[in-house]
Amino acid sequence: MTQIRGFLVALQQAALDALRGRRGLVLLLISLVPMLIAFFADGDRSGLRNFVYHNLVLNVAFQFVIPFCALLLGASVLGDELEGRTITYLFTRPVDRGLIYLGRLFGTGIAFSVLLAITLSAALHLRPVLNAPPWLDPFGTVKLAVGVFWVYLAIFAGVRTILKRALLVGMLYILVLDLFISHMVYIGLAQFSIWHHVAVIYTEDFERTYRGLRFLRQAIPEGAAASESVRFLAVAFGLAAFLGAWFTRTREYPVAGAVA
Amino acid sequence: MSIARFDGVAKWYGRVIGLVDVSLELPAGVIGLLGPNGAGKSTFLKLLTGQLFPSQGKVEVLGCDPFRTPSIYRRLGFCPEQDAFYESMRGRDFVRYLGAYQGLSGGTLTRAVDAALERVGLVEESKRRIRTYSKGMRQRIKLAQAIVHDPELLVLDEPLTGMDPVGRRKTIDLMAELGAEGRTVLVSSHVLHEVESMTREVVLIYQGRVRAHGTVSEIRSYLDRYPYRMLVRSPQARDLARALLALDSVTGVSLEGDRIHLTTLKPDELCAALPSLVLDRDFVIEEFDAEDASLDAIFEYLVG
Repeated sequence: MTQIRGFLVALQQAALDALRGRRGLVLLLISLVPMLIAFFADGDRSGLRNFVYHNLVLNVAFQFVIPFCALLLGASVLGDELEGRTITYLFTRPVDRGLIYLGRLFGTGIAFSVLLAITLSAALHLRPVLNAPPWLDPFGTVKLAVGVFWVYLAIFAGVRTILKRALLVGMLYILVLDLFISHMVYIGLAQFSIWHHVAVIYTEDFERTYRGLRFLRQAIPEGAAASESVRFLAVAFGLAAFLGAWFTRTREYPVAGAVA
Repeated sequence: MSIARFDGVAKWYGRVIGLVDVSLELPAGVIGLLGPNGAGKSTFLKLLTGQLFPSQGKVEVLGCDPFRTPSIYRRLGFCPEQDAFYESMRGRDFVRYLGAYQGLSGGTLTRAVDAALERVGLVEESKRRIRTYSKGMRQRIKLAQAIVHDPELLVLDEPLTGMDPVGRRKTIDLMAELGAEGRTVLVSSHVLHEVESMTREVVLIYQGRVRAHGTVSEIRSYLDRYPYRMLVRSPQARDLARALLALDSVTGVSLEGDRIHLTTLKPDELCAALPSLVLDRDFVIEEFDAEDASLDAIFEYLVG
């Protein structure tokens, strides 16, 4: 019972931390991005709207905004406590450290997802009022966006448990490595590339998603790439979250090592 | 009954040694952990509270491996040395938040928080945000979070740092009170008189090694190669000094006005012989005291 309660306390506090102060304001602004998607995404994808959809929505939102949010929030899951040295208080409580980590991970993720849900819902309701064009597959795109966010949140949070410069490495990944990884379709690594998912949506080359994962393809109904991508992302999230929790509970955190 | 046991414990950080070959058992009661800055006190406490695991050897606290048994923190309260806080939280919320991890909730948690704040004397100030606290108040709120769940073992890392004399006195009294209630309180400090005012049971650490462990008088008695220094004050100082020098137990005497500073390797023999010497020769003794039985002097012998 103490374990579940500890998990919930960590979750609640992390959600509040994510929404408080300047960080909360920045996240609120970022979560307005779906509103832009709602206004600019066009069903026929031609001419100017096609250009806007490709460059603004897919490239900016998927390629940069969501991964950077995931990176900033992921690095803060345990990073804030480590840098503020308050981790000592958390790790001297009768709750499994892995559970505290997971509580903070979910709390942070839920806080941002709720913000996204609110602004997205507002965008969808405002669209007809402002006479904006219809939105192509809004739920598929949003599912993918949320999926990408959660996976990268878990990955960056996990990396931060073992690497102090996780933020730097994450930026390097998003800005440079991601493009290379997106080409590794045949060994399955492309699934971890944001570019790859953008390409799937934009070109509607749904085959591309599973080209390297033949064994999965047997179970995939045709024309459901976004959903299947989300399914893959859910597995990736589970794995990343588990590894992060495992590192957290097995590592030591010398906050201020007084040494002789 | 021993509360904690270190068995051949060593801890190193890469090529830097934190603690070397520590084997000891900590008894119940108030215990002072003493050593200069960088001696290894914090490493010792972090191993004890399961924040670090030993590079070698075994640590056992309340019968469990503290690193792999989080449930032990229900019985253990820890007050860290570092001045780290959730600055925007109010003092009460801070204690409440950390108390909630102990499985406390609702009215039980509220009562526990009230009691802890009352004990550290921060009831009124607990409504303010921690960022507005003075250093002494920050130390006391740290102490409150350590005792909120009523632990049987309390580990306090330099709890008196930054406190004003009144706060210091109150905290020392609180520790004595907690000890009298049957709890074990392990307090680290690099200030000798602080430790001396709290307890006579000490563990001395220096350069990563435990140099001595026991009561101050026990430790002093082990230091055979250092003669005890005694002070005797008498109006007949010169005659008394001559008489003292004739005793087998006295190895040296020096005079300073009405004060005699003498050295002895056998303080018990000297104490037994002194009354008859005084009565037989009608000496008047105004003061008789051990000059180096203080923690300060012992510490100097051990690490100097």
